[in-house]
Amino acid sequence: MSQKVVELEPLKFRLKGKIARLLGRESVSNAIVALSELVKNSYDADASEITVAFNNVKTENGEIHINDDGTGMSYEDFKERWMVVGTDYKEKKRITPSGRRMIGEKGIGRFAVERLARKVTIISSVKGEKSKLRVIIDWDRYETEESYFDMVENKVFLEPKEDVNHHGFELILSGLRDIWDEGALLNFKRQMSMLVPPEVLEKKDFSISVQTPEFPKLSGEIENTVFGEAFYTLTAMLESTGKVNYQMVDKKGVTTKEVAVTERTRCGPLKFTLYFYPRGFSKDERIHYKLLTLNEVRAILDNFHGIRIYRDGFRVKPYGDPKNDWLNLNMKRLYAPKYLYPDNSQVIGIVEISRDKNLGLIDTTTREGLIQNEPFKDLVDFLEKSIEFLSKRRREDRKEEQPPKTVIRTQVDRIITEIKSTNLPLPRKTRAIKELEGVEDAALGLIMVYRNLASLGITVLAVSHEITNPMGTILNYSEAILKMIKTGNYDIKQFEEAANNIRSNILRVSEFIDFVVAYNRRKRRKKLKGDLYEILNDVMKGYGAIFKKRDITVELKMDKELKEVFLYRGDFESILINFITNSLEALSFTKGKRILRVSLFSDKESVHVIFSDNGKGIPPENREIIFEPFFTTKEDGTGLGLKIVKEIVEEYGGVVKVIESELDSGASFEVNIPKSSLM
Amino acid sequence: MEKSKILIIDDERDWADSAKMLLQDKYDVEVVEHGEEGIEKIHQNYYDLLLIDWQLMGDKTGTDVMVEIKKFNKVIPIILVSGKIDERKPLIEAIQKGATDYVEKDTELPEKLPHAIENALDKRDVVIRGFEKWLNRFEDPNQVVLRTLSGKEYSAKQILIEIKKDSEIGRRIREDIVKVVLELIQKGEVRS
Repeated sequence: MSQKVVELEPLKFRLKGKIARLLGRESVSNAIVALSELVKNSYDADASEITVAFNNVKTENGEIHINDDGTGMSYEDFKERWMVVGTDYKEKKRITPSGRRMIGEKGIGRFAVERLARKVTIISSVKGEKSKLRVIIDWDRYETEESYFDMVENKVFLEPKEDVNHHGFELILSGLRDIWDEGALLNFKRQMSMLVPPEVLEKKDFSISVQTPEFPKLSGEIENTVFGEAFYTLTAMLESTGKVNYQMVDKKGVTTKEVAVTERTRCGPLKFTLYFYPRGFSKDERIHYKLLTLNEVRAILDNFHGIRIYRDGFRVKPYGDPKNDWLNLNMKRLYAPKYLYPDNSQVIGIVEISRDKNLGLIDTTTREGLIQNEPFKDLVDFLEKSIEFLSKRRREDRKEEQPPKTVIRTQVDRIITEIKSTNLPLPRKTRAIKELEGVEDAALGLIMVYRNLASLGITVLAVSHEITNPMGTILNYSEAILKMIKTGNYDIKQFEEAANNIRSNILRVSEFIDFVVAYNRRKRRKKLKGDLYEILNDVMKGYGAIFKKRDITVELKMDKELKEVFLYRGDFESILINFITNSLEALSFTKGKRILRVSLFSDKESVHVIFSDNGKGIPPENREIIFEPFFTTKEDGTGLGLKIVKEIVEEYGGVVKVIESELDSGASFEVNIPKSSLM
Repeated sequence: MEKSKILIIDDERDWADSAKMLLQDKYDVEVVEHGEEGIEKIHQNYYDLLLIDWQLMGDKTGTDVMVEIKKFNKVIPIILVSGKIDERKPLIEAIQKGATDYVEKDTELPEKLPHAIENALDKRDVVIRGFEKWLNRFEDPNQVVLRTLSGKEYSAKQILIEIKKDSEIGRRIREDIVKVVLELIQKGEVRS
């Protein structure tokens, strides 16, 4: 019995209308992200002015209107791109016709609309076309049981338009799915401020305005405050006489001025403003922006970094376009890192020229930039000198903030420079340099071990009596017992007394010895998850008998939440040990109650340790010098204790200083370590 | 023969107590912790020897206490006891200021200290040692052997105490004894 093979109608996947919900509401995380995405789409469409109007958004009948003057979309664009799910034209072409780097997520926009509203009307107008398009999408129609995704029909109308040259995109979102309150609007504005170029020139590339009658305070143009956040703002003015005026404002708001002279003035008088922003954690520049977060500043820089030229308020392209590093800043920084030249992505620079005064700066015939003539070379020279001015200031500030380089680092740097100047092939150079960097690391590791052991040595010296005296006592008692047994002349009570005293003296030293042994067994080369609270307690316990013997009252004030920090335990112990050693000496001069107080607490940025005693104190003239090596006022001091503390603290990017005594008299030290270096 | 009396001035009470037990078979030992207290005791009682902690804490160092005692008692032997130290110069200076000896509190101390005490007692003033020998010959050391013009009476034992305390009367008696002994030597009745 045989059967014939018959081919049936092929099977196809079909999508129910509800897929729209999946792509919209369930994939775009929140309304602010969705709305931001729509604004980003306008930006990507080369719009220069965008208005976002919020009407009655506190109620259920709210509407949001987005209006831009971008390129708009034709019927074809809608049909072939916007309405086709999965188009990836943005992926292929990440730069817009006007040269913008695209910022919108690929293909998210239309579903962002679904996320925001039940109904949307799109009015699109293309420059030169006589009519505009009106597209109406009712997302509710995708929700019905019988609807299929590609079966729902969305109406399109062709409407006459008044001005043929008008172009742009208008989105009317109604049936909003969210209530927009003040917080949401503020959040939206904050997100948007990162897209807007910082205000400085009359002519701007791009602006976003918010209109919201319900919250009049929030209406108006969105501003980008990034210029106020610059670590350094340099203004350099070149006069036609060759005089150069530099004015620098640093992050603390301190202004410094300097005048220089140049002979290279063929470019004509001009003004250059340079804003510098560290982009991430570096050992020596603690990043604290005022109003923006580090991530926000980074996002802004991603959009606006580079050195741009404006002639009478108009951009001269391609200078300062994305990835257009025409002054080779990145190369310089890479090649000579110690000069601290800014990276192209760390600066926003504005060169202002005019047609009348800078006659030598001429456009190329293709309008692709300026002709590289002598005046242009003078312009580049002026900008380079200005950037060096900023770099020099950065180097000076860093020198002030940073302790001098270690001897090893200096030597390593010297050798690296020599390697760089050889004719060896680049990969070999790179390998050699990498190995040298390893040498420094290993050496610093060794120093760390020595430093920890030195701290121990110093403290053992300071408490030597507490160790040796009980030993002598124990020895005397045992000799006495032996003598009594030999002579047969004894009283059992004396044996008892001797034994009790021997025991109590052994207990006196054992706590400290246990601490010393544990300290020495510590694995030093590994950062451990630590609990500062516990470490402090352990150290204090180690010194318990010594404090008791010397009649010192210990007060601990601790923030018990300082648990999850990562550090070399030995480092924190070294700090404590050295402070304790100092206090023991200082307190030996105190007649009345002897107090040693340690406060450990933290705020948003740092961990603080305040170490106080009511000992003999530190005379004001010694407050700085006590941190220098070999400075000591003690008869048997090494002068290394506080130097070690300083070294450790600075390695963690922190600060140690003498502060006004917390107690009636005596000394107080404060250590601040940024939390970021304890993670 | 009576035990010699020793006063220990040391703020390390545990150690002082242990030293007391170590020395108790041969000596009569008292312990005080502070310099002032020690000076007070020396004014009141007589001691054959003092053990002073060189590193006394507080107002007065061991050397300060020693110097003060030497002002009113030049004859009493003093041994300074110190913790382990690297630099001996200050201790040598202390000896120049009148200390008889110094002993470090190291592991050899139980052996060294009794020797140091014996040596110090032997090195004492020849008059005191002679007087002590002489006193031992008395059947009753409390028998009155001296009556002053003001009517005060002294036994041989009391005279020895006064000499050891380096008191006014003790000093005068000692001077007289020295004079008498010198005369006897000159006359060839006693060999030096």
